[in-house]
Amino acid sequence: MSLIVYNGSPRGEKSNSSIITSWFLEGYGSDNTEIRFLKKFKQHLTYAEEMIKHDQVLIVFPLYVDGMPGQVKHFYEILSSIKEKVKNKQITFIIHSGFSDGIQSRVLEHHCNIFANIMELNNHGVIIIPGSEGFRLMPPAMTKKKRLAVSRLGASYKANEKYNASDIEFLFGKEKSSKSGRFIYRILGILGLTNTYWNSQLKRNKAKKNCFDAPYKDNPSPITTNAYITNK
Amino acid sequence: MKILILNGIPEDDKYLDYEKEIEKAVSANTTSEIDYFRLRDMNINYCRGCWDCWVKTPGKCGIKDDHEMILSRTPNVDMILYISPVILGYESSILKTCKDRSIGTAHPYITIHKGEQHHIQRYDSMPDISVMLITDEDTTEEQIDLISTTYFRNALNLRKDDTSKFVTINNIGGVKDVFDRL
Repeated sequence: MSLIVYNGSPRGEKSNSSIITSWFLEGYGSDNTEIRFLKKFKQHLTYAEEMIKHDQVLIVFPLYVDGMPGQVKHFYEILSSIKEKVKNKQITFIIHSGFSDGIQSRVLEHHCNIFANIMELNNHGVIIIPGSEGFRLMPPAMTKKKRLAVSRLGASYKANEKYNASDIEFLFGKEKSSKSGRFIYRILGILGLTNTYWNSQLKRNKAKKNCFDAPYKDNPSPITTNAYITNK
Repeated sequence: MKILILNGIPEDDKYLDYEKEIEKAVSANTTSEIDYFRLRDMNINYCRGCWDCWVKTPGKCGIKDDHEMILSRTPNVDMILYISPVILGYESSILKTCKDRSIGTAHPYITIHKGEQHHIQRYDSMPDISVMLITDEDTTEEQIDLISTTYFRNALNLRKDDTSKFVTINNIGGVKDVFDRL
């Protein structure tokens, strides 16, 4: 068996998708495995054709505006041009998001299933990992349980082409926070404790004091394209 | 009313007549002020996930290209009309790429809205969302449900889920119907 991994993160190599992929490959192993970065969109046809020679496909990407990143959708459209050559390939999707609620990723999960069906791919599952923003920056102790769960998924998939339901459930967590959880989140928000990740980056960039700027309010930029029509 | 129209139709003869009708309807409209963009003919790069629009130059994208014309109009209109055919059970990659680049209209901070986590909005008011989805014989009800749910969630992010509209059309005549109702 050989595996091709498509990393659909706009950040490419330096992404949380890369971290999650490395966890999966800890368990799956890296022999007969190749990784492609969909950030390199000019290579999409080449990358799509490379799927033909592999038995298994893993595609890993973050939730972006309630869907897949534009690069991933572009790759899908290119891949559909060689549908007959890739149909029945075994595919797994890993989608992750910065939100800690699982519900945010449900619509995208649905699309993964629809896409696999349209493409006649052999859909081996959609794994959802909320709370991923900052994985690449967190100390290993903070991500250990998730790393081990993803690694076990990789190992079980390598062994019997199935995933352990308990690990998938653990990674998904809760659909929505409980009432008490939301209350605590609100209190932490008021105290500024939910924003420490963003505040540290804003401070580093000396942008904290203007983080609420609204630069385009009543300030549209000039039109410089011919692909524009107005009736004004 | 001020309307921003984002046409995400790709280069494909199949949709040529739709597009001609849409552009005719934009020019002929006398009830609203319309800014219309044909996205495939613009230089709009993929989001690179740098979050400059959140943590470095708040509200402004780090990529300098044609998308600024769209981003800078978004908080100043009453409605955005998104137009796309259904491709592989979803909107076009052209339209999705354009939407990805609008992340900066939100603030990175997350709050609880309607029991879910959502980003705080950067601007006091954001436009209502309308969608004109072009379907064909391959489009299923499940796909339409999925796309409408996605747009519902987009609208929820903008706190506009109660006022947004979703329309599917499968013939040229549908274009006029949509514009008549703007």
